[in-house]
Amino acid sequence: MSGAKQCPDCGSSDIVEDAHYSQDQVVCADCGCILSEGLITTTAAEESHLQAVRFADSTGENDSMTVSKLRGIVRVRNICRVLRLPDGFSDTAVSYYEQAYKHPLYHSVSIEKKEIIVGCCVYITCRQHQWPITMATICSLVYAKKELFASIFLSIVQVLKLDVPSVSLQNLVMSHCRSFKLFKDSCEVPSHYAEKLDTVSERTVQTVELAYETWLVTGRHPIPIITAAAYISWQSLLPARRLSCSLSRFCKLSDVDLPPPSAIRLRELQGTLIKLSVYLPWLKVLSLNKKTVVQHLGDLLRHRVFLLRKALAVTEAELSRGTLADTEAQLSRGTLADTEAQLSRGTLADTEAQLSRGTLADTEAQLSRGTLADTEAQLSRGTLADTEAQLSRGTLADTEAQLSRGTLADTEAQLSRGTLADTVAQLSRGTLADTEAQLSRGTKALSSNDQPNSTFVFLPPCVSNPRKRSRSIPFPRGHLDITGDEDISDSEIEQYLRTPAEMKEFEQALNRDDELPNA
Amino acid sequence: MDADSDVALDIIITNVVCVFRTRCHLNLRKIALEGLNVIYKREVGKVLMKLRKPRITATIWSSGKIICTGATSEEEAKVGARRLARSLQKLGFQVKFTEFKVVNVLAVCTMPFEIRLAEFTKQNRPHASYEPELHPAVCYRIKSLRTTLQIFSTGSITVTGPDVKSVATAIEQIYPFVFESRKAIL
Repeated sequence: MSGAKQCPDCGSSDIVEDAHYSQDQVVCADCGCILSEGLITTTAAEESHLQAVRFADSTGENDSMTVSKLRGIVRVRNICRVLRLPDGFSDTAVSYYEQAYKHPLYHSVSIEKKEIIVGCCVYITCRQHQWPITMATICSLVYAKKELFASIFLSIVQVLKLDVPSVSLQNLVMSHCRSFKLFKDSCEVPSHYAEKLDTVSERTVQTVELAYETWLVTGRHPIPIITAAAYISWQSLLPARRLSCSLSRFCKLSDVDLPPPSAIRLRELQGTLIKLSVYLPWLKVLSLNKKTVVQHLGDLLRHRVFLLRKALAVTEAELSRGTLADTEAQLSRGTLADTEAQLSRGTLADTEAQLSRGTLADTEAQLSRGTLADTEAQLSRGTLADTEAQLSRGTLADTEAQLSRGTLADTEAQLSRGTLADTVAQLSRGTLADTEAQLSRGTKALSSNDQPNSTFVFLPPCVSNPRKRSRSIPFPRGHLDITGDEDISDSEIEQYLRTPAEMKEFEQALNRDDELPNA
Repeated sequence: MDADSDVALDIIITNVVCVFRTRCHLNLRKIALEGLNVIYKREVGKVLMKLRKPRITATIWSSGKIICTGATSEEEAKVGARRLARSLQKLGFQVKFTEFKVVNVLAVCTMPFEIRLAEFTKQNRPHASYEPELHPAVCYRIKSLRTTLQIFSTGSITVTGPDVKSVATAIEQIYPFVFESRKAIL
């Protein structure tokens, strides 16, 4: 080591190591210049004389690991190892942890929260790599409360400006199915309860997809849904032996927690299946309930795209059956054709009779044939105006044309006096009254129930059976003219203050209360 | 239906929070003894006082700072705050009605369609966050307006913001985005 060196002072290369007391020094043998001090920077003696050099300083790095940071990083790596995450994950998680550690928001927080930060970093890493894991799993690993974990998770995502994609439902289903003991090869349960993981998880994925398409998943916690779907799928694979097994028993046998909402999710899922089973021809004849429908889950899943389309198409058809086009066609066919035919025959009596009988009766019949759905459809397209216009324009013009073309001035006069007036009056009276009645009926129905076909359409369950009452406006519309600067009268104020007599009574009551414990 | 067509959306304001100062110290015990509809929380050092018309709840601190909640419009909040100030004046405090400010507005709005939350989040990711394990709604922040929207799959949207105008603007801004990810028929 010393051979190649030169003394910076005299240029000599005769440099020796010399022990000065207990300290090794490199010294130039010619001039006595000390080139460097020994490798050990401090000694026990020095430290006792308060010349201590901090370990952090001696390493030459200003921001080295503190003990707590090191502990955190080790914890992150341990959790990654416990979860058996792939290799790269722990490095990413550690880097997130280092970023979070540096951030002033997390400097003086409780140890509990610091532990949660560790968990959050791992969780975020998993989410970014599409590794299916739930918050509940991480929470139980770091012994954290869910609410606290949630708040810290959200704040870390915001502070570190991370982009966290949502969990892939499919992966989550697969990984959750893996945790069911019944689906493992080595378990001691009755043989008819055991099931192969692949078959059941494939079916569960399909069931969950079906549930997703029918609004059962959106906005809900995924695990209860997956549990319910797994239960149904498992039942359907051998319905004869398994239908009697309840959801709670299934979870107990599988050694899985039963999240409370899964019973509700199960009911919703069964309801959806029953709705879909109506459209399968060979199930139409059977009247299925929520137990028996499970047997046909395989069929339902196989044809689920068709069934969903069918269900929606039927609903669409229900809604648009007898639209404006229909009504128009019927009206024009009925009224105008009749009028034309009758008028061209040329007799007044006939015309009158036919008109009043045929047209009105027809129109009424046509209109009354229109159902509630009709009227609703019409409502949106403003049928009232249309029908009115159609009737008045069509009938009047046609009648006039026919009359002026075919008949005498006499007839014309009479017609125009008698029939036309009559017809128009009757038509407008009858039709309008009818339409209005129907409209008001329809409107009422609409306002009382915004989703008239909720039995057919698939909707989020909270829409189809709302628990909350509709919001009432606490103040009538009149409050809009408040400007905020009105005068305030004294009488208004007095209702918020006690009168002197009340104050006295109140004080006495208070004093009595105070004395009671003493006595 | 398309996104540009005029759809009248009712924005119902459910809560307006405002603050003001009285520029004098308030003896909370006196308020508690002489006011009606009051709750004195001695351990926290505040008095809650409720007014009937407009229906607001005021939190009164002894420093003279008062927070009013529960109004359904900015004007109503101001009337309520002034009425409260007058009540305190009647109690003998040297109240000046100063630094009135609306600080927070909460409103709800119902879209005429259901929303696919997963798709919506995917398309608007940095702003929108959807954690079905935590909350059924998508949380969408608009930084420039300082508003936060909770978007539910049913089409209900809850907005909080610093004032009524920003809340309305936020709804306007979000409408095309939620419209894109409305429930699609198969």
